[in-house]
Amino acid sequence: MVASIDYPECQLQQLALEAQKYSPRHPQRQSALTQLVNLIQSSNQLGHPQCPSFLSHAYEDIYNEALQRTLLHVCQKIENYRPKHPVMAWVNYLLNYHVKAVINEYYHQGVTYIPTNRNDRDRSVVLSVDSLEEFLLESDRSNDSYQEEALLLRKFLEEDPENFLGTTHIRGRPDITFQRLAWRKYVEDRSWGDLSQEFGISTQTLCSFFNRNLRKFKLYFDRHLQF
Amino acid sequence: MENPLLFKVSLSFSAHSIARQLSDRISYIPDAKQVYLNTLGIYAVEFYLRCMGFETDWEMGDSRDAKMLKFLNIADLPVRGIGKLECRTVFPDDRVCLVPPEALENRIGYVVVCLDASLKQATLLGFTPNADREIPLDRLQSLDELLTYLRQLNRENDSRRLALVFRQFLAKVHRVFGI
Repeated sequence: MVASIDYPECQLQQLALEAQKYSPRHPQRQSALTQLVNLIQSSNQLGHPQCPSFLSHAYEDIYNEALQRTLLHVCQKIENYRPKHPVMAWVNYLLNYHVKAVINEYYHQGVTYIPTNRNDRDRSVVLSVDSLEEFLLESDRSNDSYQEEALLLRKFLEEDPENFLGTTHIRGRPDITFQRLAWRKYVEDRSWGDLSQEFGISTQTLCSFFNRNLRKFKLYFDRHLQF
Repeated sequence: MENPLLFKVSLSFSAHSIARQLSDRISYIPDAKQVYLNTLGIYAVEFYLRCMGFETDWEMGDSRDAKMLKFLNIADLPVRGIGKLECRTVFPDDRVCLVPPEALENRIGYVVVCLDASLKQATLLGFTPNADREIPLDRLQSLDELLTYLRQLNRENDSRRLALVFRQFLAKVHRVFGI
């Protein structure tokens, strides 16, 4: 049986057995797994399990999702590989299983995977750069929920109900408060470079102050904004 | 080992649905697009690290917090017991990777991910432990070096944790026995 194993299969098996010898995160294991994954991806021996025709428009994405799960499975559970079978037989068995699982999820949770525009059934949730831009432009970001959220956040920044935002400032610069920076960033959409010029202070100092305090105020934000 | 290997990750439903969920919370369109692309980049890095046996806590990252994302262009991925990696994306024609100033703090390193125009595939290009505003792509270190670096940080953190436990133990001995 071993004699019938062709060259890439032989290499795949070597890599799989090599990976098995080491504990997770061992450099030898990581190196073997990386090569194994690369070789599986480039081999033309990956199967193409069947998919019901009503999902055929999404086949590529179903397949990709299943392949990702398969590769993760291979890396995390390489111990489960038994050398009496070819590696590709094991991989294709897993791929078959994961395609079924993905179809199951795709079918049952179909609504979450089909974009808001439900009349256009060919458009998958997997968007290209162009279709992403189109999608964003078409998405009605001026609608009530967006407007309301933006309004609430503006109001919160302005009113600062517990008086934290306006009293927290950069050391030695009481004029540069968190409140002022947040307003410039969120409402006026100004860049850090811009603000650095305006206040005559380095971008890094501004960012560092802002980051640290935004994290500190997270609970404060959460107390007053329910989104 | 032969030439440094890149790592390819397919982006499908799970990657895109997280990207959609997060970008849906952002009203300003250019920011929403940025959040979408950042999320795909983080997904790819997370996938790679999980394959390599690391554990991640993406849900705990600022990059999963819609309120943080309204203000900051960040793509952090916490690696358990090690620290935060920043995951930045480029497109195939890019020669440098831009890092916004808000993503330059509290990071153990920067991983650069190339997205193809279909957004169906991501390729991990490499990493750098320190970054300025621009990372030239020809100066990236290999993924192999990233793994070595993460293991080393993990060991350092482990010994620091051990030292801390030991100091606490000594303090307790001191308190109890007065020695």
